Amino acid sequence: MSYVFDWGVLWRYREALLSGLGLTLALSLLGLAGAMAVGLVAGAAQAGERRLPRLAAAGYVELARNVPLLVHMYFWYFGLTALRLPAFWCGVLGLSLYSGAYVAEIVRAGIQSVPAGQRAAALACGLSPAQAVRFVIYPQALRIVAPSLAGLFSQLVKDSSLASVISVGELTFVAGEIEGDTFRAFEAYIGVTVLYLMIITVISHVALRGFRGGIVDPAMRY
Amino acid sequence: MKKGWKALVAVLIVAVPGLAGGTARADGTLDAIKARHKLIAGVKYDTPPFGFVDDKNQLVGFDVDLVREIAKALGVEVEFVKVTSPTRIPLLVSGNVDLSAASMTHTREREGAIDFSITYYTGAQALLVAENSPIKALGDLAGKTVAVQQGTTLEKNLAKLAPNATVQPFRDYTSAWLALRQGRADALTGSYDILRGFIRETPGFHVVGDKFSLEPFGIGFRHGDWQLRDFVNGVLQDLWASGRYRELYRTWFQVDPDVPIEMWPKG
Repeated sequence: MSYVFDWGVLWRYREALLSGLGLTLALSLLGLAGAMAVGLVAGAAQAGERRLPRLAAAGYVELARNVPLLVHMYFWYFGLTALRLPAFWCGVLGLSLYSGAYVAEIVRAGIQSVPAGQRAAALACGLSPAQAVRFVIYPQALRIVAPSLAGLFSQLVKDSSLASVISVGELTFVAGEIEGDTFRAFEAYIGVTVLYLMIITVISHVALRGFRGGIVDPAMRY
Repeated sequence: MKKGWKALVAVLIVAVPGLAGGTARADGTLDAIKARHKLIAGVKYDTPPFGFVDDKNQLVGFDVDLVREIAKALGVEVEFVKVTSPTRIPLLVSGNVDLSAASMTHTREREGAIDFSITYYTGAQALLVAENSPIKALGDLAGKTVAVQQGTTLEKNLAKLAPNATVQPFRDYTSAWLALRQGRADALTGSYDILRGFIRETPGFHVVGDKFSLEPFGIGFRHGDWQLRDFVNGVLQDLWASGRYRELYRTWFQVDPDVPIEMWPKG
């Protein structure tokens, strides 16, 4: 064939790729933190008994989940221009609110999968309702949903590529930059694909272990 | 982790030869076009006035018209394929399009990946701002945010000529244009005629200052596809000689061409 691959281009752009990798990781981790925060609250509200929080949480989940992530990104960056949020934070917000809805659904399912007797027993033992959630329900629920959350997180890393449309210089954006400069589209996009593969492989293992061990087990000791 | 690496290697083993195997042989492109009675050309759909969809939902533009002239000279039909920045080279290299006329600036670096025709259009870089903007020229850009399409010569020129400006690259022209309209950027830099294409439909913006830097546009071919490239170079020169080039240029840019097509003696 007439096309000769030049993989050296990835080495020549190593600084750009590294900074893109850093931004992808930062976006993903902050997005994960945001999504977990939003999702734990909304999921608990959905599984709870009080009507107003339940409806509000359900409304949020439907709205956030049924709007494409691309639109989330555009909304924060171009729609709410008046706020003057930096592109990076628009990306974090978009990712957090979009993925937060999925976390909420997973958390709700997890909480509802813990038998009602567990809560009753915790309260009967003298724990406050908050303690029952913290020490009895969440540890069991999180353990059940750990694989789903880990899967969601690797999804989130891939989703972070959409921040490229609002000019956040993450990996996919850097690939576009390399392609534009050199017309080496194959090398650039295959290169970042391999980088995504590597981070997601590492992250999904770490996340799975984290949700199973680091987060849940200390609580289980009580 | 070990499993992950094995999977990675497996993916590469499957993917890379697949890419290589799928590519067409370049040397037969001109024959292949004649055999199938059809020229397949990659063009942009979002870059007025080079390649864009008009209000009647028709694909039109300067690039589009030039490709039609090339097809006419070949005596074949023409099929247009939409290309974007990430797809223009893969579609060409893999043989899905015969050539790519996608308002591409010819650079030496890019020659590593594809071949180019002679320059069929010479663009000049300019600045677009809102009519009430204090920016009147390149010198006023210090501390301002300037939107530009990423990975372009425009981006590098601007960084050089206005070192105190914040260059904000976007993935495509339309996003950069949206950033200016939404007030995300104070100015938009791009090819003069593309900027004029944008503001034709949207009042409230104007081009300011002198034009700076030259952008030679070339039609892209697969490496080694010299028969087709020679043919297209010949067509471009014939179009110039016959006056048809000037006609098309006036249609899309409303002025006479300021840079002639280079002419080679017939021998």
